[in-house]
Order: sequence, then C-alpha cells, then structure tokens
Amino acid sequence: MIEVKKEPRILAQQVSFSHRLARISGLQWLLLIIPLGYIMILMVFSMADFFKLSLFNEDGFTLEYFRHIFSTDIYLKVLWVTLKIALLVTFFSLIVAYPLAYMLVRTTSKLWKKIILASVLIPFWISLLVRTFAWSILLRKNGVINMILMEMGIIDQPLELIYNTTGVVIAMTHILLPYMVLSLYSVMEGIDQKLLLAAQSMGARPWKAFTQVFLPLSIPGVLSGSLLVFVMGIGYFITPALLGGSKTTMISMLIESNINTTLNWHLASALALVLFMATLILLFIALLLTGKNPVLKELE
Amino acid sequence: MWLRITVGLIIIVLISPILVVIPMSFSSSSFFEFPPPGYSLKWYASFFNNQEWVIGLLRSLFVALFTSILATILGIMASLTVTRLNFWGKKLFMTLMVAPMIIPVIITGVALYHSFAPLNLTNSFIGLILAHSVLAIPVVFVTVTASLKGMDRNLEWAALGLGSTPIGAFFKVTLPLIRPGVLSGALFAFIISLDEVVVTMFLAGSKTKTLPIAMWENLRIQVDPTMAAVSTILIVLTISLFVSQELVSARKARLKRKFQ
Repeated sequence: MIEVKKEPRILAQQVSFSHRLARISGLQWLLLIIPLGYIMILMVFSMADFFKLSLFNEDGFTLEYFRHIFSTDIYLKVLWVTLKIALLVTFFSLIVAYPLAYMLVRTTSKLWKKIILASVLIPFWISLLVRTFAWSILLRKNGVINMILMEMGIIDQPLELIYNTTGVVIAMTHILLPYMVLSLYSVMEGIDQKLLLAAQSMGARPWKAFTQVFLPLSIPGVLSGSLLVFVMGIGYFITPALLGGSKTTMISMLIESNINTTLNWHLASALALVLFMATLILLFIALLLTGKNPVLKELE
Repeated sequence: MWLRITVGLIIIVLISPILVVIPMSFSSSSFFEFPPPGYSLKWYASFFNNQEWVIGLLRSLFVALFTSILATILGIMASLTVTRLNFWGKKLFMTLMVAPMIIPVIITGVALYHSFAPLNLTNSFIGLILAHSVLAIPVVFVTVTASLKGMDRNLEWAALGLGSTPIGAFFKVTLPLIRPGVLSGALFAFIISLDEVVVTMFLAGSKTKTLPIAMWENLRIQVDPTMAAVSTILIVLTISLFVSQELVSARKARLKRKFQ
C-alpha cells in the first residue's frame, strides 16, 4: 500500500493578515495613489481653482485683471520693487556665500568645516519670525548696529536701516543664504582640487589659479544657487511685510492685502498667477541652463 | 589668511542676530537696550501669564505633532513609490512631491484658504494639519528617499526570499534600516509646522490661533519685549530638538560599530 500523504491544510485564520493582503495584486500602487492624490487635491486642484478667478468673473472670460496690473503705475511699481529686491538679495547672498562655500571645500580643518556648517544651518532651522524679529532689534534707529557705529564715532546720526529696502535686503539675504551656500557647496565639492595644485605648480599664482580654474568650474553652482534664491526672493512675504516700509511693497504683500483688506479675489488671483508663472519660467530656465531638474537636485 | 578673516566675520554676522535676542529676553528694561541695563525674568513671567502666548504654544505643538505624523506617513509612501515602483511619469511625480517647497507659500496659502472656506475647514485644527502637511511632505520625501537609496536592498530581498510579505519586510527590515532618515524627516516636518505663518495666517481663526500668529500680530502692531522671551524659548526648543536627534543617531552609529 502506498501511503497517501495528506497535504497539510492551512486554515484561513492561521494565515496572517499581511499574507492575505499580499495576495491582492496591485496593492503597491496605493503607495503612489495616496500621496499623489493628497498633493493633487490640496495643491494642484486648489491652486487651479483659485487661478480660475483671474481669468473668469461673473461675465465670463476676461483679461481685465491682467490689463489692470500691467497698465496701472502702482502695480508696475510693485513688480519693479519685487524684482529689484530679489536681485539685490541674490547678489548679496552670492557675495557672502561664495567665500563660505569656498572655505568649506578648501579647508582641511574639520573644526572650521563644522563651524561654517553650523553657522549656516542653525539659523536656517530657527523660526523665521525669530530671525526677522532679531533683525528688527539690530537695525532699528536706537538698535544695536546704530549704537555700535555711533559709539565708534563712524556716524553722528543713526542710519535709516529699517522700514526701507536696506532692512529688507539685509534680513532676506541672511534668511536665504543657506540655499545659496548649499547650492555652491554641492557643485564645488565635485571640482577636482588637484586642478588648482596643477595650475599652481605650473606657475600660476594662487589668485590666478582661482580665477582661471576654480571660478569657471564653479559657475554651474553660481547659476543654480542664484536662480533658486531669486525664485524664493520674488515670492517672499514675512520679512518684507515686517521690515519693509510703504515703498517696499512686494507682490506677495499685494496679494495678501487684496485678500484680507480689499477683498478683491480676482485681482489677487491674477497677481498670484503672475508670480506663479514667473516662478515656473525661472525654474525652466534653470533646467535649460544646468540640464537638471532644479527642484529634484537633492535626489540625484 | 584673508579668506579666514572674511569667513570669520561672515560667521559672526550670521550668528549675531540670534545671540543678541537671548540676553534681551533677560533684560529688565522695557525697551530693546543692548547691553541690557539690568537682568530680570519678567518677560518670561509675562509670557507665562499671558493666555494667548501659552495656549498658542500648546496649539502649535499639537498641530506640529499631527502634521509631523501625517507628513511622515505620506512622505514615506511617496519615497517608496519612487524607489520601488517603475512607472511612466516618475519625474513628474517627484516634481509634484517637492513642488510645495518651491511654489511661493503665499500662493499655497491663498489657494488653500479659497478651497477650505466652503468646506468649513478654516478655523479648525484639521484644516491646519492638512495644510501644514502639504508644506512638510517635500522635506520628508527628500530625506527618506535619500536614506532608501543609501540602504542595501539585498536585505529586503533576503526577507522576501525567506517568505516574508512585502509589508512584513518593510516593517521588519526596511523601516528599522532607514529609521534615522525617517526621524530627521519627521523632525523637519515638526519644525516646519511649528514655524508656519503664511498659510496659518489665512486659515487660523480665533479658536486656532497658533504661536507664530500671535508673534506675527505682535510684530506687526507693537513689538513688546515678551517677543524676546518667546524667541529664546523657540531657539532653545529648536536647538535641543536637533541636538537630541544628533545624540540619538551618534549613539546608534557607535552601537553599530561595536557589533561589527
């Protein structure tokens, strides 16, 4: 007789829940659908719904609001101020960030590296309002900077450092600087440091080796960092709203006042669409210049 | 040499705003005098005696905790999608996941206000948590994707080969391996929510006024020296969160070396 071995039967209850789930095919696509749906509904759809207000009013399709923005002096002035502040902030943060990033890749001292990274990243994570408040204390008329300068006898009258372009640019440069430093650093890190040694061993002075070898190689970082800071600069709200004066109204402040004060949603939407398109175009330029998706840089 | 002096000066300028605030908070003067004429704790007393500040802080911590949980779960899902699944339009998906980081917050804020108002989600904690999570997903996504890319996938395949289900393998093998990345992503999400002003400004009402909104109103109207005390509390809170995270991951690394 051949003994027939009975197949061990597994009761349904013994199969764990996760095994039963694993049988359902295509379940892994939930990983895609849930976050995508979240962002689509809360970000993409709500933005599209809001932007619709700029092109449609009770009477149907209209370009009235855009015409209004681009033909009224006040609005054109706001656009100009926005561009000016963003450009100044980009320029100053480049000047300040370049030596920091350069030192970060060139120094052999671990301590210096740590100090530089900490001084860039700690302020970055401290509350934006706290940083803006700190600058308002430093820059005000009887503030720390004016006091020190007067005590040293450099100036007799306190300087006007706040509630004007100067104050906004100083504080925004401080706040957006980390983005510039990190963009520069990520490119500079990839530069072969031996090239500098080679240049110097062939007779180039350190300064010449820097300007002819290192600087050209770091240009991609300069470009991507500048575009990033500029993009963040044109949409900035908190710092200009708190440290700016009546002459430094930026586009984001105009959007806010149209929502909260004048309740003109259509105009606010048109202004937001202008800002959004400017952001998209600049990011597209960054994509063309560096050949990389500027938004996904950290992931590659 | 010149480089060192320049960099040293820049570092001082970068740190000084934060260092000036801390002594100010212990000042006995009602004006922002520096150095303070005398020291006292009266601004801390003024903080703890004012309901608006204390309740605002508690609300902020509450919203930040739930934002951090929600954004971390969604961020991990998005990171797994990018590293484990193949599909058309992956680049577009990744761009969408990091988009809230680069789109001006004022646009996100107004757009959410516009779509939340008819749903009665303004002036509610759920609305705030949903909105803050949008802003916090990108940073979780970036951090967790980086650690998923850095881990050894063979371990996961070994678990699957030994009969584990994909879900079991994730919770028993993958998640413990990427825990440092997940923790720092969650921490970043927490801090983003704790400090959120622009979106909150539109969505929060009298019942959901968070600490940043109270600070914002204070800065906009009449800055009172209690702000220095609030700032110092926030600075200490942020730095201690980062230091404790550093300590935890440093201890992990030490233990790991010991066992190898």
